[in-house]
Amino acid sequence: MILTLRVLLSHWRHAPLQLGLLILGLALATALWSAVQAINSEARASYSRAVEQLGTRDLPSLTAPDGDIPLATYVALRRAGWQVSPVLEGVWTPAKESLTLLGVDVLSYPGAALMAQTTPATGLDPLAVLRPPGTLYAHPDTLAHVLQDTGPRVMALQELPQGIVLTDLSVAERLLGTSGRLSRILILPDQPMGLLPLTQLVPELELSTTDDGALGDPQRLTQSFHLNLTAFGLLAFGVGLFIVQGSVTLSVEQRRGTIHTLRCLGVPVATLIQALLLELVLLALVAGVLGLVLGYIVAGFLLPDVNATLRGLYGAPVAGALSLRPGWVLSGLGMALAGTGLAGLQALLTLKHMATQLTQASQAVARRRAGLIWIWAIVGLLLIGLAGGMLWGGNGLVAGFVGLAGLMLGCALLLPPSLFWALTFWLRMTRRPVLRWLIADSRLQLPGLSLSLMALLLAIATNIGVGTMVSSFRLTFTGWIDQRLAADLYVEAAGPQQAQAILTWAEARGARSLPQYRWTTRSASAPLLLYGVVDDPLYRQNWPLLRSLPDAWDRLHSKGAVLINEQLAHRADLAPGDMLALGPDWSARIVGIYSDYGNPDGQAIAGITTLQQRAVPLTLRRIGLVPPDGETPEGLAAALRQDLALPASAILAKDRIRAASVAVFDRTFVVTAALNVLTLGVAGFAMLTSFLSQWSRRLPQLAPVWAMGVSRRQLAGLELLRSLGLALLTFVLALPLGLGLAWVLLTVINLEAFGWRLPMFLFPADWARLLGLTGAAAGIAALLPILRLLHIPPARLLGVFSNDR
Amino acid sequence: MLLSVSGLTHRYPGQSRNVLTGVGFDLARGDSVALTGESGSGKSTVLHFLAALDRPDQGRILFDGHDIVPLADKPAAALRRSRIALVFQQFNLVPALTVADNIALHAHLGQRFDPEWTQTLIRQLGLAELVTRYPEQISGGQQQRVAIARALALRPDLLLADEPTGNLDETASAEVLRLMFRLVAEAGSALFLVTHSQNIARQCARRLHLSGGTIRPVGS
Ligand SMILES: Nc1ncnc2c1ncn2[C@@H]1O[C@H](COP(=O)(O)OP(=O)(O)OP(=O)(O)O)[C@@H](O)[C@H]1O
Ligand SMILES: [Mg+2]
Repeated sequence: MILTLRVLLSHWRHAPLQLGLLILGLALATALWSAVQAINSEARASYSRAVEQLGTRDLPSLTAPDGDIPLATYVALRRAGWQVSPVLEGVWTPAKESLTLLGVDVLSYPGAALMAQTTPATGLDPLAVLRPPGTLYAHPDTLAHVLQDTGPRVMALQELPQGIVLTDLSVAERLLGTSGRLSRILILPDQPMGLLPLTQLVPELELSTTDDGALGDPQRLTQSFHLNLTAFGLLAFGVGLFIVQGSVTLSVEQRRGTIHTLRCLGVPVATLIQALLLELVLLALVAGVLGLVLGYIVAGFLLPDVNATLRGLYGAPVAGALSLRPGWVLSGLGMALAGTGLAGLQALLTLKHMATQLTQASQAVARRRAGLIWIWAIVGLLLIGLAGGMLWGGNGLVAGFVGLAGLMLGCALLLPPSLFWALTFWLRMTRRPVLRWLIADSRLQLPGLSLSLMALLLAIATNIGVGTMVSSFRLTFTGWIDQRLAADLYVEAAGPQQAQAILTWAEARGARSLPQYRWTTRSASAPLLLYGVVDDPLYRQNWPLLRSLPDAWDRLHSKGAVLINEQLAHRADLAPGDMLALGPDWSARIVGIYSDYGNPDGQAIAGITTLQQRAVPLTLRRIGLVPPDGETPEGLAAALRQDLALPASAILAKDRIRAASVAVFDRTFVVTAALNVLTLGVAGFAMLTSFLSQWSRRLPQLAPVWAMGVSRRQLAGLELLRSLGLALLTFVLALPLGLGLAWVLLTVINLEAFGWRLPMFLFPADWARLLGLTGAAAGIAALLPILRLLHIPPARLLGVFSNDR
Repeated sequence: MLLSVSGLTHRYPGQSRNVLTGVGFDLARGDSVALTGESGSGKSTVLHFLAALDRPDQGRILFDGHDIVPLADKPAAALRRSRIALVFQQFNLVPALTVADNIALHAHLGQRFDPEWTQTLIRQLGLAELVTRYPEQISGGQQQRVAIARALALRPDLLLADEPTGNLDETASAEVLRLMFRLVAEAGSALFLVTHSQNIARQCARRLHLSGGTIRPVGS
């Protein structure tokens, strides 16, 4: 057994390049997979850190369907004997950045112990938290956004996630400007016996886990993003496996002679198979460790961009650093082993077949496999049908992704039969001898190449699909932002007085002002941002409405109606004409739905007069300005700066904001683009290995043609032509698949993940670029065999015609 | 003179002795020559040089008055494509193509395809029923006959055959030889045939024997 293994392993000494490619392929596959895993688990850990370390993980809590819980309800629960802890949660904007403020009762909050731990080091006794002006706790990075000189003391608490500020309930009430209202009531683990049931005490409240609080929100919202990354990682891993599959199968075929000899020496088939298995395990371990190292490096590179995406798109709090987790190492190695096993399956079958039937010609095997190609077609069509059903009938993110996977795999399976039939048809059509040979020869090579071509198909389709989605999104986004930024200038006010001063100044100057009053509230137990707008014609002209009732703006200003954004409409299943609950005794008619990209939260717009009548706590930070006729925006900005002594950074021209938003958008998709390129690279690599693995079988094909007067240079040209031709055909088939993928991403996945549906645009210039890239990959993959062919000594080719083939 | 060979000397890399030491002979149109010699004496090596498939260390091979030894790959290939046909000891056929396509391939490449002549060859060599099969689906002797049909279909100026009848029974080899001599007589080709069989060698116009790296005539 060991001897057999040693004989088998001795093969690699003569094929160091092949061994290198094999290990590199497997390592790359493992690297991409584990990089994605590392990123995902890092982000998840970030989200759950708060919940876990603050001790509120898995604690059930009570929430009100329409947002707030009166303090009296909490008091009633305490009186009834329930061990509960109140939480007030809200959006607080001390400086530029918006933060989530969590107000808790320090005596009963499960995470209070953690807060107390940090206190002695700073020389304060725990009760100081309660004394005015109170204490704010936040992650050290978040503290930078909190104005140090105003209000309460601030204190760093490493365990908190970024973007969250923890404080006492009374401080939170003061900062948020509310009183007597709670967002959640946590139910503590130990309860006395014989309590009245909650359904009887507080029937109006809903019982849930903390998942939909500020600490749990990111987990729910970013689920789609992580699923997306995982899908990408899995795809890259799958493509990498094609490389391994090609190299391992090849190595078995190359050892035909050795295997023959070992069989003649009396080594049983079982021992041979065990030895090969052992060899595979060895390779998998070496490549797996290498892949983990690579994956760690890749993850380190991508993590900042991923964090930017998570923060930009979802506002999710993520910490910046990567840490090594044992689970991650194990799962990476496990994937490498499982993948090698899967990829080695064909090699094992080949070995078994070879060891039992040593006299079979390899062409006969190839031709028999080609004869069975219609099975691929049937399985492919079945998968596509299933995927169609899944996308049509199923709902939810997982169904969408499963449908997508089925669609892609089905189309990939259809590729070899399509190529086979296309080549057969072409062979019938053409008379030119060299071309006929080339086509027939390509057809015979197809079984050996089909896996790498499938990998290429998947990579191209993903590139087109994801590229189309991102570009469509970008086009929609830029168009949308032009509509949304109706005013020419935007002024950021430092406080309410300044905001009022700006409004007064604008009126005196004859400029129109569009103040953005905001009110952060909750509706249907999810955060809702309500904007109050003035009645300005710019809104009627520009605001990007998707659907609306007639006279929507009139009804908004005179009848107290609201407009809601698309994600709120999708999530709460609301349509124009429905009612939106805004408080215990307040619901407003929805008169329209507008598109709103770049945040996952619910938003609504109401007339400012309506909000003022309801006396809701409004904040005003941003004011849009339109200069009067005859004045330029620059002039107005200069005058404003001078008259009100505003800092330059407080006044932003429309173009600046637009550019900044687009930059944020682009940064968001850097990771996607990087993964796209990597996948294509791996697919090119798969092609290279399969061309190389075909090479040893090529000589008997080439030698007779060469002897009949086709020069080596011509043969090399034909090889290049073949590689390019197959890549081109694959591209042609991948294009519709990619567009289908884009369609599913835009209309199914996006809707489920973000709550918005995007129109699809086509980008032929991108396709041309991708075609160029594909051609380059195919050309490079064919380069090595071509160079070998150009420099092969005639004696090697002549060797084909003597006994020692 | 179609072919005029002189002073061929060659040693394979890594070998201690020369395979050939000053081989020389002439071959005219309409002539047929049989080359005999022990196994490993260098017969196939000579044949490969004559087809410009490989290059001797020294010597000249004048084909129609031009030395083909220094030819680069491209002109050498062009020469084979239209004027020189080969039949090897084995593994002659292109695995990807059917028997019919294999037979027509060289003639098509040399742009000298003649459907009538090709049909005659297929019939006479008893291949009519095999034309749609692939090489690995027919026997060794059948493969050899396909290779001969392919070489004859080109009507080459020079036909080089390395043990073409090694795998054939007596009737089949007689038919193969008859067709080769017919080509030599009708088209004015020259035949250079390597064989172990004295019987076959005797049917050629002249006999040469290769031994110890040199060639000498046999018989008269
Ligand atoms: N590529 C090569 N490298 C090294 N030695 C070679 C090579 N090809 C042939 N030889 C050696 O050169 C000698 C002549 O070989 P060749 O094939 O010409 O013999 P042959 O006369 O055709 O023999 P046979 O009758 O068995 O076909 C042999 O000893 C052989 O081992
Ligand atoms: Mg020989």
